Amino acid sequence: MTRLLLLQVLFLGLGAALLPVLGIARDRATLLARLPLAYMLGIAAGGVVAAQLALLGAAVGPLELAVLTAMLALIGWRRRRPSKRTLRGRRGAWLGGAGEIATSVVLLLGLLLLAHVTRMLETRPLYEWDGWAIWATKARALYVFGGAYEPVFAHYAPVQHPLFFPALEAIDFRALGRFDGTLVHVQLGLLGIGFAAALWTLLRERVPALFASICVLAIVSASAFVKQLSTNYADVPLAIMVALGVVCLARWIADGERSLLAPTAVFLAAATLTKPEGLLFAAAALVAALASGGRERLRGTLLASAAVAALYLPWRVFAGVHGLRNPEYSLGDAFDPRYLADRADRLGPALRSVAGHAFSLDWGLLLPLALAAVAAALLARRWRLAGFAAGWGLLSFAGVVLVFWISVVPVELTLRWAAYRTVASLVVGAAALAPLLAADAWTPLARQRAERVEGRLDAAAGGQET
Amino acid sequence: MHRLRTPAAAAAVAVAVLAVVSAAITFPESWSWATDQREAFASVEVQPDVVFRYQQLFPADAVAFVRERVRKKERFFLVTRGGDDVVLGVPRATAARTFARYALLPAVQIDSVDDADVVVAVGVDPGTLGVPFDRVEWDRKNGVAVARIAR
Repeated sequence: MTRLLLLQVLFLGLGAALLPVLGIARDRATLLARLPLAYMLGIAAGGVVAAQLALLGAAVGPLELAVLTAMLALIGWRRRRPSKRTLRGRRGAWLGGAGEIATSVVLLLGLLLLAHVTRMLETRPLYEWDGWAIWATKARALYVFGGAYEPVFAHYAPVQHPLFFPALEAIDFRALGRFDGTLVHVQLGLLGIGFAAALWTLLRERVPALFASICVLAIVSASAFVKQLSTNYADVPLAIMVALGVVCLARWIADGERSLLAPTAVFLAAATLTKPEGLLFAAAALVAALASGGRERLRGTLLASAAVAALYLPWRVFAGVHGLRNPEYSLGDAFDPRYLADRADRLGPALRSVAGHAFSLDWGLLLPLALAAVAAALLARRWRLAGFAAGWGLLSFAGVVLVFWISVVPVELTLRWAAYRTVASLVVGAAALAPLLAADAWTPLARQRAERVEGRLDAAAGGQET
Repeated sequence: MHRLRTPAAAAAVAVAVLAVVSAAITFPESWSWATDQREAFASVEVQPDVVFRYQQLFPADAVAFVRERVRKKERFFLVTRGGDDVVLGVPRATAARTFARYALLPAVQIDSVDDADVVVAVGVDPGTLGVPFDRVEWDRKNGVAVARIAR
């Protein structure tokens, strides 16, 4: 257990080293303010590197991570700049001292729950089917073979799943010095804690801290979040990467926060390398950003898209070289009207099931909350942000339904197996965006400021409205 | 209430209220679920190579028996009897193969007996495959056999 926790310190160090290297924190004050983002950044970056190297048969363990961290820290140190106040924190500005106390209490409640869950996970063995049959099998194979050993990774179904999640767990096993199907669950609990800290850090720069805390608590306390996180399935880890990537991208679209483009790329790349649906959610985010961001956001969004594509490419090459195909569906079928018409009877059940699970009380009121937030953004005339969030949400929802529509697996089976967890990224991502969407509607003053920013952006874009 | 003058502010307040209500609904359930899970699993003796929920597919000592006889990267073909679904949509034979590929790592399960080094038979006689063997070892208690294919 101690080794596993020390490994998490390495992930934190890796992320902290990446903050200045990727331009996320260019001075000491910003570095300190954004430090809670570092753990998830280290997890995402470390997992992406491990997944890529696994394709080459190279193993990543604590030693390799430590060397990488040291090199990046050196580069970051050489790039350090004098501190200046570059962040527009809104911590407690509208409630004063009482607000800060309430913020701390609410955030601590969320972290306390996740710590309670993590303590439980210390004793929870592999139990649910996919948790051992897919994810632990592949993580164990990466651990024992030191990489993507072809007889396993080109043949053990589902071959279409990329390697981020098992590569991350294989690092855990290397730190432990053994395969351990129980202790590996602790990693999942720590992912939840890291997610809460990272999301709060990203939100509080734009959102009253108490509001950010309440929304983070609502997300991490959702029983579907907690239960699915505990199963060693990749759906909640995917949702975490999607949500962080989408929030970074939204901050770029809404505020031109260029320093969050790099984490956008890292988190969305991690999502594409976690599950095939990750590509759907990431592509939906980037398309929505291109559509809503206007001309002045175009270059940055294209750069982030190129980075995500570049990080995803090695897996596609591996899949192409080994002829790995998704046996459940082919995306090409989505563009074949006759195929879609032949399977039209699947559309109704797929729509009902996906919507039903997304609005299930297992997720609390996260989706109604997100819809109210989109309404707030529209009423506050935050067109770009509302357009981005609505575009991403609709594209993601349509994509999930489409996957169930074109699948060759009997519809009642595939919906029962997967619909309840495939919506995780949609619900968590939408709820994570909600504070950003609603923040500027809090006060007329903030709304006027938002209008001024929009006006300046529109003027800069030559009158182009989104 | 100056802040509530506009519909936008009202919508924002609705978001905050929904977040509070959402957490109030789910937090107690999530907390008690985690507590119950800890109580349920704290007393379970977990063995690293088995998933105790699916032990009926391949008992723990049978896994140990096979692992002692199959080396790293050796290719094994699993033959087992059929039966009803173990979980929804997963027949017993598929479930047993899925479990074996997990439990018997670092040996590698393959789909064709023609390419195998070893046959692992669960609940059936490996001789029914009609393949020549150098050696067949039985774990009679669990009805598991490891048969090394003659080359």
